[in-house]
Amino acid sequence: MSAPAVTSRKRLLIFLLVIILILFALILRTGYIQLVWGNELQKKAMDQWTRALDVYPKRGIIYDRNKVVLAQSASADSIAVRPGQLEDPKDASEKLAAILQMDEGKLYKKIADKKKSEVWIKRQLSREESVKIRKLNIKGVYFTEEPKRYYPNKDLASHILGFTMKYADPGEGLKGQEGLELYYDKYLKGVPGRIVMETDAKGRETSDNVERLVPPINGWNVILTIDQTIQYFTEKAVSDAMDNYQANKIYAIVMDPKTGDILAMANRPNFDANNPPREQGYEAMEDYVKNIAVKDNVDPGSTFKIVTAASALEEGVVTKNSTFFCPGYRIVDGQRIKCSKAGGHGHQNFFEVVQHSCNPAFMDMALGLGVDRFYDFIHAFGFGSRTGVDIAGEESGVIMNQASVKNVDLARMGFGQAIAVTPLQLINAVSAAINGGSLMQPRLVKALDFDDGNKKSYQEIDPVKVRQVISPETSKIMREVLQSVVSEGSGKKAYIPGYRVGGKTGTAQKYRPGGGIKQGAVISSFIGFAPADDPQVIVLFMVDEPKVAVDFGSVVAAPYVKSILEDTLKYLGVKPIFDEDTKKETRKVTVPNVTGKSLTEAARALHEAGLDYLAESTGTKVTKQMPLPEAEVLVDTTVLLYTGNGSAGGEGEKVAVPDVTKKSVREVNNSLTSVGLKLQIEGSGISIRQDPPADTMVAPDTVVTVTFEPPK
Amino acid sequence: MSKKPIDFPILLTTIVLVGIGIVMVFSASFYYATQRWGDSFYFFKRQCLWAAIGFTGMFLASRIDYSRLQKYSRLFLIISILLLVAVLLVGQRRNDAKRWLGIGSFTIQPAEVAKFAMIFFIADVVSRRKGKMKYFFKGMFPILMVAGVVFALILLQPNLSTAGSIVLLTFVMLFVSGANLWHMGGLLAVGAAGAIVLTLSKGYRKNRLLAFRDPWGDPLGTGWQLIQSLYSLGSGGLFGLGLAKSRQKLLYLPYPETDFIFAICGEELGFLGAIVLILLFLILIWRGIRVALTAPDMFGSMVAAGIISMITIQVVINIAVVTASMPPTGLPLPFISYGGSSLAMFMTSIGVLLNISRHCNAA
Repeated sequence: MSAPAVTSRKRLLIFLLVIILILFALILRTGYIQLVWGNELQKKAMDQWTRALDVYPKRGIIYDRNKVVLAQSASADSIAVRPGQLEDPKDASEKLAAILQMDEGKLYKKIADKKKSEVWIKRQLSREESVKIRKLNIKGVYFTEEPKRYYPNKDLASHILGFTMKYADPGEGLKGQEGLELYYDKYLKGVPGRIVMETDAKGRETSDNVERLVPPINGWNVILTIDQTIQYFTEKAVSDAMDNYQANKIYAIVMDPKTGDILAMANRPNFDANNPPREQGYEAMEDYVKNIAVKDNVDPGSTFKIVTAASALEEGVVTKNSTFFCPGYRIVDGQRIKCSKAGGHGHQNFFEVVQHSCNPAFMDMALGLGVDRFYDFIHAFGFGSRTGVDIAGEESGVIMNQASVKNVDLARMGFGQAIAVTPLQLINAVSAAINGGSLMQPRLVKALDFDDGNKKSYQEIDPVKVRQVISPETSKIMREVLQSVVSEGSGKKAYIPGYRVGGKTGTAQKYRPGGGIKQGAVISSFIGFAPADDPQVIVLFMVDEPKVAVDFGSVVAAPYVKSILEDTLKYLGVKPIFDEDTKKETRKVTVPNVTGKSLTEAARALHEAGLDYLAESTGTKVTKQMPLPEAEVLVDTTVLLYTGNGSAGGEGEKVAVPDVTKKSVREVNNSLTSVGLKLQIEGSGISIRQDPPADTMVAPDTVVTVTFEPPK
Repeated sequence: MSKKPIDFPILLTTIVLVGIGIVMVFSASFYYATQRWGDSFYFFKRQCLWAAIGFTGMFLASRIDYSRLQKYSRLFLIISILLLVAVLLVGQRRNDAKRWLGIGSFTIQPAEVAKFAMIFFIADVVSRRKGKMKYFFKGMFPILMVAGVVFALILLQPNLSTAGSIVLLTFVMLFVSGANLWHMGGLLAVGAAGAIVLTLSKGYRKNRLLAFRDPWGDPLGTGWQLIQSLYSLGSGGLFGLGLAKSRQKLLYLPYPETDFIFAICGEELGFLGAIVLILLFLILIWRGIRVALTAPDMFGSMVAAGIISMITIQVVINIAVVTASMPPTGLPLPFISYGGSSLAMFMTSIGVLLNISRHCNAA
């Protein structure tokens, strides 16, 4: 044996050298990974080591103005399974499926999928389900408390409150979807906390697991201007009206005219906030959940005359002593615009003009103001812009472009046509007209409140005055005028014994999609407030397409305003005063005998006696009356007059055919039926021809054929 | 021949490495062992047992004159080839590969045995053909033939990494033996071509290669273990998270106690710990090559060179894989990784090395 060769020794040294180089290269590589790349790698590694569980904050409570709970959160268990930890997925799926009433096969597929670290089985279990499953004590089944929103009054004020999303992602907690829940979401929702814990690759907590808890911060409570009791009165009135009229929609708003506080707001159709109608899809759901009181642009009709009158008074275009003459129409820009009363109101003073809701007088006022001044007031009263109420998606109404307004448009605006407003804009503007002239920003929330046991905070939100629109003096006149509407004029059905009530009726025509007037369809409205000398409550009630024969706002809406006002005044402790002003309305009167008289004579006699009337059928001669003559009734009682289908007037008595051209079908129908004639319609739109022509003397019940054409 | 003392640094380094290995195997495995076997000491106990067997083997080997082993070289080779055939016929199948022979959990890998049989075989051939190694047919040819057979048998299991490490071992030993550099170049070319063919022949090997270039390209598939290995090292930083504090061993990193134990070392002991470990290996390699340089005869020199080459190849490949410096392949880190027969064989071979060191001429 001999020692290794020299070549071998050399090569061994070369080998050693190469290995030293390689090992140093590996040291450098390791150093690069551990020191240079390390931070980034560690961050990524950290993500996989930790599992963060969200801890839901308590969503704020929504209270009414008296701290009655309108919406609050409770928690419900949700159940998740970590498939990696299940010992017997088959057994587990059988047991869980039985309790949760789920399809066992599907459930098994879900929980046997070992690739998933965690699968949700069911969200928001009932208490019984949760208790039963907890008793089973299955390894790998986890419970998470998830919050659920409850609205104890169900559909009460649901449009105001809105609702939260059904299932936000786990970890998001409750999230506002509609209404105040959406608008005040950032206050209500709070800040979620987190539990961070370390787990192994299969999601199991490790034994020496370090947990860090970042506590959640609860949401703010929201205190509304809504009064649950007044809201209830309003909901009741709206429901009753819906039952009576089968209307398309109903809007009702109750406000404190001085502060802009919305005391109640109810619309139909409505929904239960606990269970919004999601099944039919988003579009269909919108029909129910949309807060139409701020999201619909509607024709205001005669209630808008309050704005016209207030503006004209403020500008001195008219005074409370002005006199007007109404021939039954006004011709503006060559167009004949008719008053609601065929034949006209004749000579009237300012108060009577409002009481009668006389269109020509309001056209005069609008024309007297001129486009610029009237537009200034329309804007000042808040039309054409959002009121700023705390509801997302508020509409701002539709006003014609000022530059393209012609006199005829201006005249129509004067009595509430050719303009669209939201119901909230309307009641807010009228509030300004009667509260001393201040346009307030309507609001639903008066305070925010935070209380987590340690920290307390209460933030009162002050009412916001937007601007002074008219002088207090003008406003005072408006209150007097509007009080007279209820005591003397078209608003008698809103009269409440012992209270001074002001108000105004409105009956607006509706338009078909595309432009033409929708026949036989109106929005009947009434806006009323009390006490008229110091308004504390104002109520707007609008009925869209009431299915009744007499669809005037005075008949359809006024009684409900009266009921809401009366309930609210008594609830608020406003004492009735039986003085000169109010007492006379509680006196009894004797019903005069009007049977056998013509309708016009009968109406005059009843009016003189302080009674109301409602004519049944279309005749011109009263054949029967209810109550009977000599009966002692309360002033303003409605006397039903039966006119026996006009046969009573068939004694050779002839009537003059009125001019019914350039009118809507409804207008034509009204004109003809008021004199006992019948209408046959040809075409649609605005009337262009009539047969027989105007002023022809014909027998009652004669059929007048009127041709209509769509307006150009 | 006079009896001199053994090379003490080799003994000390080996003991330190085995000690570190036992501690790290325990640290890396106890979570998995608890989860899998309900016994956090499962791997620890076995590693201790195998270390004891290894120490016995090391002691015995260091007492047996290495030159007396030369005449058993061929027998050793034949036995190991028979074992390799046996494992293909009656071996235990794990993860789609037949690599283990044995009863129950007490198993050995014939491929581990074959590595050392090859060392003795090549050393024997080289020492007897001293001076002829520069010729192809008279020199390296029989070695290549045998290496080819062993390589093929191991590849059939299949176990490309061990088979490949035997090829590398053969290559290094031939180089050291004084083979013609042109021949070596030719072998290198053939080997490289073979490696490419073998890599592309199986889908999983190709995937691994791609994963090595961009582990995040398929983070939940083949890139997974590389990413997890990098997370381990990256989390360690300079000083490490502290012994037993690894989080990656919580089932994130696959094979934390075997192939990827270096990553756990880096995570728990930091870059400093990793440097210490690599330097310990360097000391061992340096002392081992010193033994080869000063061995009294060619057989001793070649055996020492073979043993140290085997250790070096596995250390380099293992660390290169863990640091994503080469495509992942499963070779344990000598003395550190859990793995009974491997540990025992390496320790016994250190015994042989120690015995050779007794006969060394003073450097």
